Amino acid sequence: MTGYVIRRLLQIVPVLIGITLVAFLVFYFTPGDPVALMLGEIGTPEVEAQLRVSLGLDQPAYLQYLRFLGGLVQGDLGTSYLSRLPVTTTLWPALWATFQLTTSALLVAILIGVPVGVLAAVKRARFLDYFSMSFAVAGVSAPVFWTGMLFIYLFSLKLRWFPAGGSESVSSIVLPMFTLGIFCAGFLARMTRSCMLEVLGQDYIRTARAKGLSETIVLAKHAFRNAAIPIVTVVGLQFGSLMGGSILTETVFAWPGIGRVVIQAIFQRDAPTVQGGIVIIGTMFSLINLAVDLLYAKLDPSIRYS
Amino acid sequence: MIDTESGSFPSSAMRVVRRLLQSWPAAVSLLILLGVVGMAIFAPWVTSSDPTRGNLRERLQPPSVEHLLGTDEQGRDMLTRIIWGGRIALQVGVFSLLIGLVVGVTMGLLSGYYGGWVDTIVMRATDLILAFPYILLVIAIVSILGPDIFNAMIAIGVRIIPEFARVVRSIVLSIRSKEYVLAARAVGASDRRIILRHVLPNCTAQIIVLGTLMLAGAILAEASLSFLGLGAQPPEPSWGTMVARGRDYLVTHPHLSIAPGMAILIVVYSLNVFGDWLRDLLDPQID
Amino acid sequence: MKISIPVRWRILALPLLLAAASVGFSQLAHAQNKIVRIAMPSEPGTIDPHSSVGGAYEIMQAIFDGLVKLDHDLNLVPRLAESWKQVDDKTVRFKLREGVKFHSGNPFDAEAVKAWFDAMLDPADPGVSAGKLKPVSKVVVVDKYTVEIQLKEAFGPFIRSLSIPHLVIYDVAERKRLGPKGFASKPSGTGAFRFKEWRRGQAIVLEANPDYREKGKPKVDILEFSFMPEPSGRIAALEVGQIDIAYALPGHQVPRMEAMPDVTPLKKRALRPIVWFFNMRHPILLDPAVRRALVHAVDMDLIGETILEHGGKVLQGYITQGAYGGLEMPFGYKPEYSALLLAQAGWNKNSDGIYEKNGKKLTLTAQIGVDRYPDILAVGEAIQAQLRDQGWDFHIRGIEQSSLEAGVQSARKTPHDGDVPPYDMVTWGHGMRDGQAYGPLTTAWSNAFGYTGSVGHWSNQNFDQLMAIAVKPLPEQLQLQAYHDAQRVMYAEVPGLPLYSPLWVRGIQSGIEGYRLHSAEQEYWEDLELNR
Repeated sequence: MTGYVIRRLLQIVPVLIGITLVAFLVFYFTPGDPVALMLGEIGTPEVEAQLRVSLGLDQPAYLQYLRFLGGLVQGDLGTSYLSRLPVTTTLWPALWATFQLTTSALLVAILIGVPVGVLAAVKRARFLDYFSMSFAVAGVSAPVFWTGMLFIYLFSLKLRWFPAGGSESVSSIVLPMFTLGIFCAGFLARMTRSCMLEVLGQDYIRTARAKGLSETIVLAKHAFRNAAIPIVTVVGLQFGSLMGGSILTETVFAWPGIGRVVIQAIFQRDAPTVQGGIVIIGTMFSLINLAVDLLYAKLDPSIRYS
Repeated sequence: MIDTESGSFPSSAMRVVRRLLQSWPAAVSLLILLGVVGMAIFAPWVTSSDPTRGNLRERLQPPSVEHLLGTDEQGRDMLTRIIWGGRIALQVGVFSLLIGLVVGVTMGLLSGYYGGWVDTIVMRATDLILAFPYILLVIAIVSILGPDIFNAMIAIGVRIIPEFARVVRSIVLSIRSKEYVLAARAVGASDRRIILRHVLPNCTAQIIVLGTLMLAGAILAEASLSFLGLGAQPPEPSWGTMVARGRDYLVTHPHLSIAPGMAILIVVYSLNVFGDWLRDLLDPQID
Repeated sequence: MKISIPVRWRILALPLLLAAASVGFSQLAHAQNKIVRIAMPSEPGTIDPHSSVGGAYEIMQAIFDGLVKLDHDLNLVPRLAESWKQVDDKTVRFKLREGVKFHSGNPFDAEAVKAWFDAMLDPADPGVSAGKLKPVSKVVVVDKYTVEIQLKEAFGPFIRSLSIPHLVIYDVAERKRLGPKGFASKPSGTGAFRFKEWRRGQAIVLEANPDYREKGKPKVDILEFSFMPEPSGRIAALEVGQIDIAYALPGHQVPRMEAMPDVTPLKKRALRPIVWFFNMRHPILLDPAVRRALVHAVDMDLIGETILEHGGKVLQGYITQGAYGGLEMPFGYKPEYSALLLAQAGWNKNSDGIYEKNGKKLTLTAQIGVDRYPDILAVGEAIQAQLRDQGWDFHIRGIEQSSLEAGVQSARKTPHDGDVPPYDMVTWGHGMRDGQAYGPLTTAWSNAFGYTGSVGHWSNQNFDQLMAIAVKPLPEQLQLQAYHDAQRVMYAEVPGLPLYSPLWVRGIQSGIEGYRLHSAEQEYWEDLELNR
């Protein structure tokens, strides 16, 4: 196990460096002149030149990249062109908001996806199976931005149950949470179903049934327990992919998460904020996936050698 | 892993058709997909008007006999735009899929077959691409290249590369030491010939399954990009753009957003159902 | 209700509860005060007037004041200055209000005003809007409450120009003490409200300034600005009473808001003229015949009757009707004339029906800032369709207004010949926050005034000379003559396609009083009342 952990930890180092490189490339190739963006209508050539120097924009690309890495090591992700404050001023609170959204969406997904998947597996090839699985496929096929707008239309504009956006009240999180959660629940239901089916086909389940144990006990104690390991993994991996889905959800619902901040910064050509956001999201995403891998390896030793 | 050495093409095709007729969801999805492809190809003939031209005096009309899905804020026929939107969705989907498939399969073959430093480089590159959430990577690439439909194809294609590379690599690894490969090598066949004649055919089934599912993802990604304004530019009738533009009229004319979103849902849904069915068919191990 | 939850689910529920609680507490914090909640489309980057590039003027005008202000009839009235006197053509003397304090406690006096001018014009770190103060040569403290501003040369509109929200006076001493970053997160001005907190991504909260110079004002305790990008979301929030004032609503929602029992729509046509500036360095647009053909090929009246039905008003010249100095002179839709002009200029339709000359298509791309003005993208798309119908290979590209502006700024500052900026034509709405035509005419259309160059690189000596006369302190009749003649030069040269002036629509809850829209886009919060 230790060897595997060390190997995986070493593997992530080049990935993390790669992430900073991609982030820097986006920063470097963002169109538009940051000095014009910052100084607006004014700015004599001297002031502009001075600003260019203080931003390090007069240096060659590789020096700018090294400078960025140097800052990163000290926890400095750069300064926004627009607010002229450290980009972390906006990115950390945004990351927290994204965390709130993704965890609650994941909870929704688990509460819907796992029972539906178990049920579908138990009622395999029966109406309930087809019925729930077709909804699961619809869940993963519907674009989240569209589901979100449907929710806004139905539950906010028509029924007026929940706010259509923002994050000002507690109920603001409900619609984005379900939009994202339903998307993810589809995956979970499908994975749960196939994990359950695999377990249900095993010998020990047949043995348990032969012993005359009630079906409920067989399902709960034997089948679900064993299916839980891959399901936990899928849940973990979903948490990572939720960070992607949250970009669109946050945009539709004006949820102040990191995805929305990055999208806004792209449109405003605030390159440092985009750069910082990409580093944060990429790093979080990789670390979560690493953690899931390690957890899975701990639960299922065979994976370490494959 | 599968092994399609046995069975000539016509007989396996017949088998597929027979199995298809046994599964009505897959058959229906295939019909829908064929219908969408047909409409996309024959859009100029099945629609009576230009999707980019409208009559301002007939804007924002509710559905009627003349305009089955009503008209948008420029007075353009919504149904026409949705049909032409299928063209854009399929174009972007297919082209980005091709990019991902060609590059990814090549990388997977080389990395699996040769191993060593080639393998290391390919794997680290795929690690890096997979280190970002799907849509974020695509957005990042488009923001470097500039927002338009062509760059969207490239960006989505790049994101798909590792999916193919990894699957193909793992298949290659599993068959690299199989007898027929070793035999071919023993009789002095070139690497190129071995890869193309013996290794690649073993990957086709998996590639087809993955391709179907990746196509669904690519269409969703294009719609998302266009929704954010980073894909198709006006007046191109991309489904994502149409959903976004309908947002302003969500209260008064909800169908402007609902209808194009429905189109995305139907196509992606059909691709997923059909892809699942293909996977079950070609890879009996799962389920 | 008691539900037993397995341990593993409880662990997962914990983050959710934490999340809900953290959102919930911020709700509880202010329950008893008179709070007015305002929803804006986007969150500003900063509310420090020294470095704000826009997007926060409404908030800034609650925290900061200018020396003078424009009332709702566009009359110039005192604000931080009690009175002023034009000493000679180049000198203005302001008498300041006594006993005014900044939120930090620092006194507002002649020294503070001079410090502000000096800080804005500091060559090492000029204020973003320093260009508007370009005429200033020197500021002299006469006594504790008298300050004299000396101009480089006579500039008639100067005093009025001090009313714009870019030029609100901030507490320079405090900004020096806290540093730019510290000041940005704790700004200090003389306004009716002082800064309380900024919950990034959520809201900017201001509280009543207890030492405000007008006794009994402001009449509400808290202003809370939150950010909702979706117009339909803002309307829905207004409808259910989640917010009190909703900004930037589309015109077509007015009838719907009128039907809501507790909501009143407020409408005001802005003076701001939105124009497609032609890039005069573009090889195709260099030819005046093509420019003229373009403006006559567009049926703006049809667009006005349809897309702008509930929204803006089509411009009848380069300056909005009603602004001081504007001239009504519409181009009109004349497609046959347009075709003749193109034919005369050597453009003929190819087999696809597209205009061509020497094998090159009549290809043009207009950049549109999609987020600032209501209906702008729909208008652009309609124009695109009309031009395509007539054989133009016309494209539009929507980008964020701020990046569009940055692109224009950087191109207009480098007036090298032969260097074609990356746009063929560009949407530019020039604010007339002081109600006068000189703003757009000098800043956006000319190279001769201000730090900046003309947006579309149009430059015309005749025009510049006429505008140089127009900005002199002159009898009204002579001044208007110069203004009108300058616009006649534009009419002859066609440096752009006039589009429309937007209709600003906001919605307010019942109980909100003393709130009016200002046609010059000013916001005065001290009169706001909440009666519930």
